[in-house]
Amino acid sequence: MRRLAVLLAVILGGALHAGAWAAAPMAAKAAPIKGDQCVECHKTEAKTSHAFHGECNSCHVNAGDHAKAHEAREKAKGPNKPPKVVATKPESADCLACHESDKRRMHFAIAEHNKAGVQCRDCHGNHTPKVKALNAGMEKGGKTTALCATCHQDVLAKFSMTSHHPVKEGGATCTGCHDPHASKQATLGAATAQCTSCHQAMRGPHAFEHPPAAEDCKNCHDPHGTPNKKLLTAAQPMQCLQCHSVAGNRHGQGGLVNNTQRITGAVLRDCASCHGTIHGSSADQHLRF
Amino acid sequence: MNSKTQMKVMVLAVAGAFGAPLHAAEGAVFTGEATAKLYSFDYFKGAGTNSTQFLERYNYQQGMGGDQRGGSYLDLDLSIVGRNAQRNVFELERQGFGAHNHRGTVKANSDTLGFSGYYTNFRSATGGLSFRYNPNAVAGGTDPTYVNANSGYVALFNNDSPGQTLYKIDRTTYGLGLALKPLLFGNSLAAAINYDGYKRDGNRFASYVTGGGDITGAITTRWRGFDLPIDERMNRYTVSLNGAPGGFNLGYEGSIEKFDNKARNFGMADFASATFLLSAGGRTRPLHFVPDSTLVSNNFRFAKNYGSTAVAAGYGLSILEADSFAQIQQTNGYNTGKITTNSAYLNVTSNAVAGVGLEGFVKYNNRDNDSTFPAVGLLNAAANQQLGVRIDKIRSLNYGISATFRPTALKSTVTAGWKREDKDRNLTWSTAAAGGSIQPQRSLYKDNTVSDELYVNWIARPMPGVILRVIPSYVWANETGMVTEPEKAFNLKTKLSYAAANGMLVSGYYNHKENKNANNAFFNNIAASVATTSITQDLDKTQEAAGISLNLPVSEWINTHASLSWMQDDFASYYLSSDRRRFEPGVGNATTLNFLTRDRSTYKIDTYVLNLGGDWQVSDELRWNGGYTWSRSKGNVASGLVLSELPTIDGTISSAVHSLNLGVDYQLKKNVKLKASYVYDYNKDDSYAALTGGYHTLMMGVGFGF
Repeated sequence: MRRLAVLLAVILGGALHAGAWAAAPMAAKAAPIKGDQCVECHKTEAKTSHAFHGECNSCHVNAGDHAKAHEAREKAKGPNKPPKVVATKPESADCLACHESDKRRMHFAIAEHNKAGVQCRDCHGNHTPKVKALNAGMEKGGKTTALCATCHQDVLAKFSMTSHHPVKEGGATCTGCHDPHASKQATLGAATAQCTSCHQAMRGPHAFEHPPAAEDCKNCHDPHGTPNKKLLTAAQPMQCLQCHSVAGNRHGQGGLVNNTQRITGAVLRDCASCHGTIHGSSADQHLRF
Repeated sequence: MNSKTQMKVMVLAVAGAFGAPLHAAEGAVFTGEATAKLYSFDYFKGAGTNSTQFLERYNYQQGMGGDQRGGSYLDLDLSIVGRNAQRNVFELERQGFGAHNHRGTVKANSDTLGFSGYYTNFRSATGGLSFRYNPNAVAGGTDPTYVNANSGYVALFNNDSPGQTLYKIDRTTYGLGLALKPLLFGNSLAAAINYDGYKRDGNRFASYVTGGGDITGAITTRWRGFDLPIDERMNRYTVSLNGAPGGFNLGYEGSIEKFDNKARNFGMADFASATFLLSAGGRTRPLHFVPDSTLVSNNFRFAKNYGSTAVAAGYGLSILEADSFAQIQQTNGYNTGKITTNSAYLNVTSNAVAGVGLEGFVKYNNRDNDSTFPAVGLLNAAANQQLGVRIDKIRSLNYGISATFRPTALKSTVTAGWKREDKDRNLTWSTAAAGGSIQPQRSLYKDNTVSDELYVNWIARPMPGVILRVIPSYVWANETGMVTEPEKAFNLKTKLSYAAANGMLVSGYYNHKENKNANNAFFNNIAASVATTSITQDLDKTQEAAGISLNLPVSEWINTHASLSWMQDDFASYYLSSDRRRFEPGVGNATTLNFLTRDRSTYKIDTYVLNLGGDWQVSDELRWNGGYTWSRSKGNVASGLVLSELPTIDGTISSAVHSLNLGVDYQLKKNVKLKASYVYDYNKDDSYAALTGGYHTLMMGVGFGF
């Protein structure tokens, strides 16, 4: 096994080195910014464009017309200057012309963001990042979370509820659960896979399954935040009582066989305190241990 | 591969991988900043002398001397960027917010290769907000009047780890990625190899109850809890391939994910000799057994444009298998735990019709439970008081169509669509004699779900900078398989935003979500010869949310923002009881179980969140920032009979969190920046005063640029 590990590391390292050597001449060929005419005015943008975006008109498809019009206006004298031509911003289709084969974007056409009219440029600042600086209160959350929060204010508010995933605190991120390029219509795998990709201990397989937990975690939990403990959509006991009747036997104060005896708060306050393996059990049909 | 070997592979791979991008980065300019930080913190009030409970769930701090309540510690932020004319060829970032909250990333890129790595560490207190490890000390937590032989479960709580009050879990995640870019393969293929893993260790308090027949001691020893160690590892290896031969976009992703539970397994017998006596059956009971498991996934995706029509399709197969079994499972021949999921989708979008965008989709998911069944003595449909229901298979089919128009009025985009969900469950119910097992008539879990949904998605841009979104939908179901599924649902999402040329952004939203399900009934009798009566569960759940937000740049140097959100959860369902448990025979009639509607309980919680903040670039050297967040939740989690029984701490939610933060950056010299921040958090709980606590911290740092 040790030999295998060393071999794997050597191959990996070797491949990387080989790739770097192969890459070097190509890197030398590529010119940083070819749109010299653009740079005359857009000095800041020229300095901050990213890889392979040196050709201004590869994204701003009418940049040539924009430049010509600008030049004509500069030369023109008198009141009858030719009209301005505003350089277009890249549409998602322009970006996807290069990025569609990327595994995360090959279905962007049917992604929720695309359907909602969100363009690539709305999140990705090719010249400068969309979120430049964070206030002290959002430092732990990070820039990606801050970016998502600019639109999803209703979700951001949930992260201030009593029980929430620690996103603002730096323990989780929006993109840790959500792929902003993906489509719900194109998900593969188990319905619970998204949650159990971090919470594997809950996934079993369990000999005794709790059906709502086996079907969809959201049957009981709201992952963003709730006023209740454990991210429950409703507090116990009503969370459980919506599906389950409570038997007098074992749950009633006297343990008698009738359904009118008193069942006190000690039983009602926390069903999972006794039914502790609520997501599934290895040995108990009542999910108690 | 054991953990040491994996670590060696990682170290060697990192060492090997670093050289290449750094070589490619020759000629790159490196810039960076290292910020040394000194924190001083103090927790006050809280549940005890050593715990603030609520705040430590999300912000677990520890000083250099190990003190959790107050102290100081050093930390370091680091940011290095190597950049050539084309790209960032190297990025390294490390951020720290204490010994138990820090993270780091590294990236390196060339034309042909990309390397990435990350780690995070986050500790959370897990003592529980409801003090489950000490319910005897909570008013209403236990009830000494429970003394009958068939109850007694909550007369007393028995803590088998009484000296332990500190519960915490660390989650440390880490990963490496290697991307082989298209240029490496002549732009015909892209590939990636990724490793992701985590280590989760610590402890939590676990509770359980013994069965009535499992115990031979006094009845007040049934409800128990203990300090359960957590020691988990997850390692996932993923290979991705993407290519575009002949205009087809093809993708493959395969992964192997191994989950190992390395913590000690406990059984009831571990505590038997010390505090209570167990029957022979009880001695074999495992406690909170978590199996090792392996998930193997293979996903194939396809996309192709045919003129104005685009097709997207995919198929996935995932197999989850248990790799370890509890002793009692092995004894009874339960040796296979296996869930197989097949899933597929097909999506077609077309602009072939002028002015109309058409879309249709089909999505299929099939979950097969291939685990051992039956395992006589453990899991057996033919035995009394055994399995209530086993999920053999869940098969779902979702499909729908939609059309998108772009009417000129208000520069609108309108999508109108219909979709259907058809879910079919194969369930095995106990075949034991009626009255000796849960029968389907006594369960609200059903075989089928069939629902339809109509929706409209309207986006309007009536004037520059203004966007209006209105998305109503209505769901109606012919059959529901679970109470939580809507029989009827009305959803509405709206948002209006305005972005001005000067950078001002103002927006407001209102969301309404209403689910009803009255399609649920228990039946008293399951024998056809006996007149049956039913009792109905009727669920009504409404969630509303509204908010306004304003981002206002007061000047070129001052930005401010403010937002106010309101959320309301309103839920009602019946509180039902029965004379015995659903698998037990009824009184005087072997087939009858008597249900009773005790009350209709409502749950209604309002939450408000106010957020204010801003930043002020006073000069080129000096920047101030600050913010204040207030969130308030208030309401009752039940009403009537249920609320009257619950202790206040569980029946009423009344809490507020105040969070104030101030920050300042000062550029002392060209390469030296001073930083300071102050954070104050205060959680006030009016229902459960012990959860009230506060925290404040002061950070002073010096950043050195290079």
